[in-house]
Amino acid sequence: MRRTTTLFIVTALMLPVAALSAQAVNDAQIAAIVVTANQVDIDAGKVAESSASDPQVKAFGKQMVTDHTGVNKQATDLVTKLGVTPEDNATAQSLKSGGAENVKNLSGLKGAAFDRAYIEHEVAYHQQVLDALDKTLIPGAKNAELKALLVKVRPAFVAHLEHAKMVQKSLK
Amino acid sequence: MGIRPGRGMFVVLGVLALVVVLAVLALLRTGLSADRTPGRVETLAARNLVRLSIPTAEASRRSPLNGSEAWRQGTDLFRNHCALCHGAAGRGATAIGPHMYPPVPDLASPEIQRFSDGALFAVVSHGVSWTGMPAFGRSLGESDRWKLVAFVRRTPSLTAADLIPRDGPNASTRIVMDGTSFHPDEATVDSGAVVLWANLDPFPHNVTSESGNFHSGDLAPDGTWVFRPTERGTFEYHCSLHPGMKAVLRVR
Repeated sequence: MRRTTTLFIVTALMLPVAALSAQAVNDAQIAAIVVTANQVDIDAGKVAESSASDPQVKAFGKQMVTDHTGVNKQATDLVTKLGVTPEDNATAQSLKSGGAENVKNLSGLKGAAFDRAYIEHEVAYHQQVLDALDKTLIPGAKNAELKALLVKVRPAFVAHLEHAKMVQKSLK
Repeated sequence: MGIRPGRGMFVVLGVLALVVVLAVLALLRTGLSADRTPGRVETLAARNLVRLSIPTAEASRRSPLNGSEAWRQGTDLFRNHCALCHGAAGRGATAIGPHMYPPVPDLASPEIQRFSDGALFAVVSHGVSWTGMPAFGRSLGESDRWKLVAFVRRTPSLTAADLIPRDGPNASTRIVMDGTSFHPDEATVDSGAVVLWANLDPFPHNVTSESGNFHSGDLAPDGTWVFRPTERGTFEYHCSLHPGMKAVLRVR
């Protein structure tokens, strides 16, 4: 049941991003998507930091908070420097509501069930963000510095995905 | 109201006395310790005071250096004279930078970048009193100081490759962590040589050898780690936080 819920949330999350690849996004919208995507994973990481039972999962959650906070600081600094005001859009909004849904779902779980649900969502989330980076955000970024920042942080998302998969494997 | 001049002076003196008393009280409460973080108002006031205190004649000076390569020479000077506090990339998050009062600023930040070239030159030359910034006017020539200004201007757009020292007799081997990978990912050094890792990513990385011979601990953004390998051999290492971030160090 829980797994179905998580799968449902993950699928629901992916739809807008898939839809997005078809349409053009401007830099202001990209800025909003990047900041929201990081914030969503920071929020989930904070929950895992306090509620996970497996030390590996706890450590992973803590690292997600650190890494995504760092990326967000750099993204915010750049956006401020460029004088771009992040523009809210459907993708950013659905990321936000998907993140809230995930946190709500996690808050009802404990122990091993929590650990599994959190990591499962992290795997799906990082895969989803990587797809968005490759199909929409990086090709869509007009400003060279914004594009460079996205290219620079992309490998971190790959590493997080690999790391999440490793943790997921060890939980089974 | 009919305040006579004499009374006006008393008011001014009273206000001044109050300011002095408040300052003394603040000092008694915190002492002159540096293990605090300056408040927003203090930071804003101090930054603007530094900028505005530079005479217009100095602030409006233009760099005599022509060409776009001045900052490259500035990179070496910066590493030798400034990186201890400012970090090799100038972002300020070194081991000691955040613990100074005021903390070492991020030179790439908009607050610093709004200083004119002339103002930056004045800061490098004269230093800033009541901070850790020394005056380099007597130890470095004018051309070198302008090269440092060029480097500071470059800090917002520095890339990993920019910081790798070009060949030279005392160039240490420098490996940067950028884009969640090591550059270069294969390095060969002599036994006893200095190897320096610099983290240019906005989140922590570490250097962990597979065999357990060396471990840097987590390096904060802009943090560096220096290691002198003495044991000869081929050492594979990675960042334990980011699987897939791997490299090799050969010691001959």
